[in-house]
Amino acid sequence: MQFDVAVILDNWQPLADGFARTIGICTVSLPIGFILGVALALLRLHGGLVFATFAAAYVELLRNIPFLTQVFLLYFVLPEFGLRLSPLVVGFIALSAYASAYAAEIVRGAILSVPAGQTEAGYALGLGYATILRRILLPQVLGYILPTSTNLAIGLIKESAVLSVITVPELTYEAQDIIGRTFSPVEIFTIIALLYWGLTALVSTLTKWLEIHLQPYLTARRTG
Amino acid sequence: MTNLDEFPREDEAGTGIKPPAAVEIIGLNKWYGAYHALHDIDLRVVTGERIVICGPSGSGKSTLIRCINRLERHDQGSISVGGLELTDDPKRVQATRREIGMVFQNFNLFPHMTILENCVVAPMSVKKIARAQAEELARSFLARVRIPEQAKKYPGQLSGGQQQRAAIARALCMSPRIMLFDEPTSALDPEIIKEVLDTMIALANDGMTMLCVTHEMGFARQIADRVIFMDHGRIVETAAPANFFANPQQVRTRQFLNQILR
Amino acid sequence: MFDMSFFLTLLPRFIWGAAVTLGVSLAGFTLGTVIALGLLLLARSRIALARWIVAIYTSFIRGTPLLVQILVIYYALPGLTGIELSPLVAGVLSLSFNSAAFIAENLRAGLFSIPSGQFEAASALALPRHIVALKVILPQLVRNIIPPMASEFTILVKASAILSVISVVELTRTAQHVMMETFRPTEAFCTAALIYFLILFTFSVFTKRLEHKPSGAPR
Repeated sequence: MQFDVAVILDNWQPLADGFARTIGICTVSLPIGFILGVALALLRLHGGLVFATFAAAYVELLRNIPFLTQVFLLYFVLPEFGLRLSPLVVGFIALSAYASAYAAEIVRGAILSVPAGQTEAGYALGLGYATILRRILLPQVLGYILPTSTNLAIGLIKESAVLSVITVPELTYEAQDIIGRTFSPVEIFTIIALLYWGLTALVSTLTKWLEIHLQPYLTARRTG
Repeated sequence: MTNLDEFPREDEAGTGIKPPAAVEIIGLNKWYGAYHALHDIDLRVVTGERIVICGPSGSGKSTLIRCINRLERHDQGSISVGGLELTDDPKRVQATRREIGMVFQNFNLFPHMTILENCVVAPMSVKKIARAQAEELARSFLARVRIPEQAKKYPGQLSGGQQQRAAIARALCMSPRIMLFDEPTSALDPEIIKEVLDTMIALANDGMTMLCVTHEMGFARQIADRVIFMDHGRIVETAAPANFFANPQQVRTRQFLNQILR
Repeated sequence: MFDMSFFLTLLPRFIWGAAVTLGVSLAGFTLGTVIALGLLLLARSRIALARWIVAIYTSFIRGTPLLVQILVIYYALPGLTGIELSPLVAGVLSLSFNSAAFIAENLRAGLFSIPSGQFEAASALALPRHIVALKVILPQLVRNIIPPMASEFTILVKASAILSVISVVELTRTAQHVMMETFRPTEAFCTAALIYFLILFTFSVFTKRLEHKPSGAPR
């Protein structure tokens, strides 16, 4: 058995395309999921009984069903209701929805992690909830949100491989396509594993850097 | 119960006309589920008056002052601040909170903002004061609580006493008419308590209307017009400090004072 | 829209699928724990190479999709070693190798979560070492480790759906088969999703009593 680098070099174009699509899908889904997640978290915390229950049900449903099963549900069931979407669009929707459920829990946990006294001090100063949220709670929860969203981002990158099953032409799909033509699973799976590995490593290094630079007050030492 | 007319501040000029109450609480009741936290509280505080509230933990003293700026919602009775009754109307609540400064046991400074930022955030956002002006105001109050050199530091870089004085300055920046203190020295080391109390005494001497939940009886003796003793959600005894300490009327007050003034 | 009689006739097949899902998850979890203990021992080894291998292994598992790991084991391993694995064996092995990296971290964190004051207090009381280990440390260790292990298991149940890709007939694959036979995707996938939800949600409610932290991000 030998490792044939030529297979990789010959197929670099579809590999690069697939890799770019993987990055693209995640780059779009993560912020969409996060915006939805913030909304869901606020609904669950302050939305009153009806909206809070709805948000909780949405979050629990998505968190307790495997992503692959959700993807199949969307891909095969939506057409039954007359909604024919391309695999790529289904992939975007599935990944964003999935991200939103996890982001909602991250944001909710983050807001709950700030001591109640912070909100009370804001109220006592006459600030409204919107201002308290924007100026007091959110800046403080960055330290909580950043590391957990790194995990979410990495989770999404890895989960996006599942979209290959419904023929979204991302990295894993392209890899299987190449293997189908070249019968060289060892080389191709090795290279895509390395690509995923590199990408997730890059994301976690990047956010660690951000974590340090966005919160100077956490590293400021007491000088007396 | 207290006859308010005993107190000279009520009617110093002897005109017989009552000055407007800074805070007027009538028939206040509050429950946490089945737990009766506040029981038929009546309290009238006039402008410039200094009240010290003491009592064992769970007596409802913190809950009482937290009701005044609606950090807690009361269930029965009425609270008026400056003649304006507190209702569920968010505008009314907001307007009342603007008139009341509060100092917490755990300071509750915003850790991600410098001391100066902590002081200007509310004046700028609530009162729409320009930054330069708000900062000037903040620096003057920081000087008054004697920590002008800490303006650019983060709360985490200050000692507990400095943090609490910064919190007092932050509250003062909103130019409140009334200050509430919720056990302001309980989280501090003994040797630091004095610097915070000195700041509070200076504030009292400037004529600020103050309601202080504290067990610092020396402080109560020195500046309080009235000391209120609470137990099990009720006001048990109210008296001028001299009488309160020398001649407590109620058994429970005596027991409490015996425990606290070992 | 949702046909109830369809649901009832095919329910036994879905239940069998769910049993396979739980079976492979449990097998993966058990073998994963064994591998994780090995990883922990290697990570504390005096040989630098051993520690390096553990670090790289953990990073690789955490940094690559489970689907890719499964495809590697099922398609690439035979090419490399000549060993042909059945889908079921390849699937369980992938789940084990994958969960081992995460379980090892849970075990490690659980060990370090016991404050040194506990050891000091026990020593100050002059307790014999075996009493300290058995009565002081072990109960705390178990309490610290059970919640993350329980959430690890739920993650495995969700992850096992990916075994359908290499044609292990677990719950998701069952739904696919049913869809292809009956042309009723709505019923097929809704039933599967519902069963997953019932299993995972009841399990999470059950373990939430033990747990204090919200469960981790997706794998």
